[in-house]
Amino acid sequence: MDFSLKTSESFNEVMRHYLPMVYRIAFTRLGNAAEAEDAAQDVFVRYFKADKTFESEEHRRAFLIRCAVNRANSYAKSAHSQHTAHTDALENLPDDALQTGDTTADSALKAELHREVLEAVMRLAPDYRTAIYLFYFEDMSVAQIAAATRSRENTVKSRLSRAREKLKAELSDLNFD
Amino acid sequence: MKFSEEYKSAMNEISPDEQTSRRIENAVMERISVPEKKKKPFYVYAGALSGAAACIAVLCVVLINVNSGGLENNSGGIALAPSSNYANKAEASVADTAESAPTDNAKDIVNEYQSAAGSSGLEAPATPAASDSENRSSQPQDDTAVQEYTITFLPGGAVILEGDNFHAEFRSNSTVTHFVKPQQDLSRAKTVDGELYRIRLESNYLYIFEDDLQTAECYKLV
Repeated sequence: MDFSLKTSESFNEVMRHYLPMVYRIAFTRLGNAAEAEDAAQDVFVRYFKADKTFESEEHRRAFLIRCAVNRANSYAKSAHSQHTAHTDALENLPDDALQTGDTTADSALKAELHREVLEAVMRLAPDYRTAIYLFYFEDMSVAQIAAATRSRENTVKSRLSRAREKLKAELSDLNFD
Repeated sequence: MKFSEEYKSAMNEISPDEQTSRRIENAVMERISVPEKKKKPFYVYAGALSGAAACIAVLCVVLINVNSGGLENNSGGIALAPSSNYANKAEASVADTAESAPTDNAKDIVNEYQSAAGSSGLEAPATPAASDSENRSSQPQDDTAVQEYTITFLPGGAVILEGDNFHAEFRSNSTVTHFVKPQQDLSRAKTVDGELYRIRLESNYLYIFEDDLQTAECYKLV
């Protein structure tokens, strides 16, 4: 992708490419599809207005991740979001999420497994959820997560460690390695 | 079975569907296009600010005039230029010396008028009420009591104003002043053809009023 020029085409291309990532970060933090949508909108509006020149695609990705984390945190602190129950977050997923379309028994089991994993993650504290997402899904290092969440590296390590412990306890019957 | 793999697979399924993606994209495009249209260059804001500052300054001048003299004698006129009574006080008091002026206010007016007249060789007009300046400066004046002049319009926007022992030439400075209310205490000036004009002499400025007695063209003493 050549995003060096901020034409409307390149902006649309960036948005299409990174929208799932931004949406997932927001959803992981907020646990609410509607708020995740709003936060994702804000992120791309900010990206457009920032009008930054990035040295590499990695920089652009890091910028969008940081922006998504910040925006999701702001939404989480808003009065409306504080009244939203995050424990039943998966009920707010888009209709076709966690639906593979395959109706075989294996697929149903897989979908059930995924739901259990996601529910366990969503029961974690918000900071833990974000750390888990960035570490396992976006393959970010502890240092990168610390930069994106404006935390110290030791704090990130501690969040990851505690999150793993809680997940291990929550998902003990699934026999993860 | 590894947690990281299963978690990745699960999260992969949490993506905005096609419809949601399009909705977000449309909303973003709409939001980024609206402010761009409304965005105004800096100089527009600078101009607006300057205009507002100028308006405030003019308002302050008007208020000061109203408070200090415009309403003092119940003339009721709110003038952009110095108040109507101010000019008539000057006309009424101009024959007096500074020492004989009855009030400090009138004294200032006399001095100001005389300095303007002195700088151009103007002789102060002898007014019927010259010896009664104290009363004139503190009471409203009617048309019958004010000075009557002869006015001559010259080509090129010049005006000659003559009265008893008074002769001055003014030139239009191409500004028109609009007063909030019709002015009531104006002097009369007639052309040699007998055409009547209402005027006001104010320091080294001459205002020639239109029939509405609110709009006046400004002339400056040459």
